[in-house]
Amino acid sequence: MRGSPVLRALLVFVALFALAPLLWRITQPDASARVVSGKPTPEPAKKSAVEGRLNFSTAASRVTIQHLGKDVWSKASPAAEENFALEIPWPKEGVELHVVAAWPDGTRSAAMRVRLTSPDGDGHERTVWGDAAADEVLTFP
Amino acid sequence: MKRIATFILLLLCAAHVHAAKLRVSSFSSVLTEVATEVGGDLVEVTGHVKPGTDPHEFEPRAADLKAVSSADIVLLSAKHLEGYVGKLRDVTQAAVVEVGAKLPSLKLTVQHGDHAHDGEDPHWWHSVKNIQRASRYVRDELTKLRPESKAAFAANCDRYVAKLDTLQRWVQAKVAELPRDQRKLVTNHDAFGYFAKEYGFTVMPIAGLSKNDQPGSKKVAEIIGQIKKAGVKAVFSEDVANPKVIQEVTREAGAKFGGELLSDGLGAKPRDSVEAMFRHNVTTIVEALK
Repeated sequence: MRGSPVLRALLVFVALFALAPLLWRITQPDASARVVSGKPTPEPAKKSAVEGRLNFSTAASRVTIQHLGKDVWSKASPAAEENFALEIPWPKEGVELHVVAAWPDGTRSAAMRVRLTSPDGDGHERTVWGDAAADEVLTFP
Repeated sequence: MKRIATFILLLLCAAHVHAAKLRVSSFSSVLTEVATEVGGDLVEVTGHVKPGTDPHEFEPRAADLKAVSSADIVLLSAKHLEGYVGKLRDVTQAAVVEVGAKLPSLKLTVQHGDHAHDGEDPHWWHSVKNIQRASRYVRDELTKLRPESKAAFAANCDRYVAKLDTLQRWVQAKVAELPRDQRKLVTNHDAFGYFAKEYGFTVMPIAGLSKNDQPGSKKVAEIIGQIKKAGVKAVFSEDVANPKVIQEVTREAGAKFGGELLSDGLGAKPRDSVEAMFRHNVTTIVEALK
């Protein structure tokens, strides 16, 4: 080997020291970054305006409609035709409404038709049948 | 006089035979309840697979075969769940009724070592409608054996089916609390196909995850990736067979452990009824995924 080994070693150390500031800078975390711990908070589902209509074959004494376990519409002695509006999320998998209807005692084979117009403008109908009462979960579409 | 006495004695013997209860041997905890409800006072039911025990692991012992040999009817869950059906047929002349064979089937991927194939999903009892169908089949089979009790079996069956109607309405209303796009069920045992079909869920079984799998393994990493991609909120297990892996899967996938589900029949007390099984499973699933 030519030259002094001590000198060569010194040159290597000098090179490393010269690189040190650069290495330190690029390995430091970005001060403007925020470490996110845990799950990101899920965004609430986007709600859409949904129009609904009820039609009755026989006058009902009371109707309640629930969405995701909460009352969204309720009326005592509804008219033969009732319109209502909801603000609910409508995912591609569809929606469910839990409808409970009561008719006067002795009523036989009463029907309630539930029509929803989805955010894309399509109409979907379901019919609930009961004697004095009906309690069903309807899936749309 | 002697002839009259003999005739009366014969009549009394015949009456005793008909008053004797039908002996039912059941190899499904769900069918034990069905037979008890539909048969009522007219049957004596022996439930060989007790609530809380795994029917996949059950093998009949000598005492079970002895009971079957004197049974009037044997009820099986079927869909290939009871591999020992041949043993039962060998010891009895009674009707061996494979109740599940009469119900519509869903497919299931069955793993055998390093290969898999399609088979029938045997877990039909996770649909209330299937249990109602099974009740009618059991009613019909009991009526074949005891036609004079047809009205009683029919009344008992109607009462039980009406009770299941009430349960079904509860299940549907509870499930309706969960948005349809959140109905993703991740479990370590592929037992909820019938439940998923009836109540609008998608099932993602953690296939092949066993007690021997280690955290950090390639298989576990693949499962974590699938769960993350699906955006699932909670992971469920049949039992906490591999708690470290379940922990890793839920932590790395950003999900939570939703709880234990009863997958292979009725649970131990107090979940040893069809109603208790459904209320436990449905409440656990819906509350964890909300």
